[in-house]
Amino acid sequence: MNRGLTEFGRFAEPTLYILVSLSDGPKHGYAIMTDVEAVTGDPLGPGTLYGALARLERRGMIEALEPEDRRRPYKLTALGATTLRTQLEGLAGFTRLGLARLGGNAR
Amino acid sequence: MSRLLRLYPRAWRARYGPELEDLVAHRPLGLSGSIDLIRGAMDAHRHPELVDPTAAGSARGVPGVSSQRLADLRVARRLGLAAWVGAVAWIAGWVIAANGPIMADGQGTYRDGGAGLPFILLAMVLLAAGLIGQMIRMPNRARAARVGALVAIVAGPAWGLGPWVLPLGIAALAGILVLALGAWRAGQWGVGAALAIVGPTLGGVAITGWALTAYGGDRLSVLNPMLLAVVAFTPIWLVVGATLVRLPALADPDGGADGLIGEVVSA
Repeated sequence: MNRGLTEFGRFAEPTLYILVSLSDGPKHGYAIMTDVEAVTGDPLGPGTLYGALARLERRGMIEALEPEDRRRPYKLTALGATTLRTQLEGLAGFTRLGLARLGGNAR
Repeated sequence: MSRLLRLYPRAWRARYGPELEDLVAHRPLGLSGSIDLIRGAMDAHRHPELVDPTAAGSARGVPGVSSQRLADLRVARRLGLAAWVGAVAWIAGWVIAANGPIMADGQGTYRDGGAGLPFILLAMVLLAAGLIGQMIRMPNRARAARVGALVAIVAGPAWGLGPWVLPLGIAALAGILVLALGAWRAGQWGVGAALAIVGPTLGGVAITGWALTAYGGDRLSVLNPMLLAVVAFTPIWLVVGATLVRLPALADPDGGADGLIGEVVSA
């Protein structure tokens, strides 16, 4: 991972999930939580979710929209989208490398 | 849920509280969710700057933290080290006092602990230094914490000069308790740090009060005063020092290991 998310410490993985979740449009906390659970199979705890959201918001990677009742949607910013793209491309390259080496060993 | 949410700092609740309540209303927490929320509350106390940029910031060029403020916080850190030295003096004073010579007078025998008094006074002076560090460190909005520290700064060393003047000791302890609770309420101390002072202090006071009332004739002879003083009150020096030496205000906001000073006391 590049420094963009590793600097979030234990929140690096949750922040990546959140950025992916927001990549197809704004969502509020509960929608992010259910989306992440559907994708990863693991629930994201409320404390972890909002700890990660606060960090992303402070770094300008997401932006809070006007609240709808008690729910406040969040959307990806340009910085967040760039960070996510860099992150995913890095992971994709790493995955290709690993699979290639694994394939080479299998032969 | 609302009880657990109260563990979060006020600024955090103002910003994220309604969303969190809504989320939990749609999804019961369960045990793991409750633990996660408590852990999140501890994290929020450690990083108040996440919702209040004026509370603190990274040491490396984050807007809102002046170089003067950083210099002040470094002074506060050194005062925290002084408080830790005070903990050693406090323990030494009581150990020396508890091992003083047995003296006799017209009413019987007693142990003369006078040799420990200079160490006790030194401990109180060093605690006052740490409390001055706390006043430097606390933002103006942490008014209760600052008032508590000020009371203890005055009353603590005064009690060290005359430990038999009980009201001074009570005033110093009350100031410390107000500091701990006020710092926690203001999001400056983690809940663990506050409890590490409040719990043993109240326990020590309760045990002492019980001994005084239940054994009116024999007073504190049923207790080991040295053990009580060390166990119940040493955490005051340790926590006052730790919350300065490991200033969350200067730590990396994401809990990384590369903060200027590092992580705050584990809450």
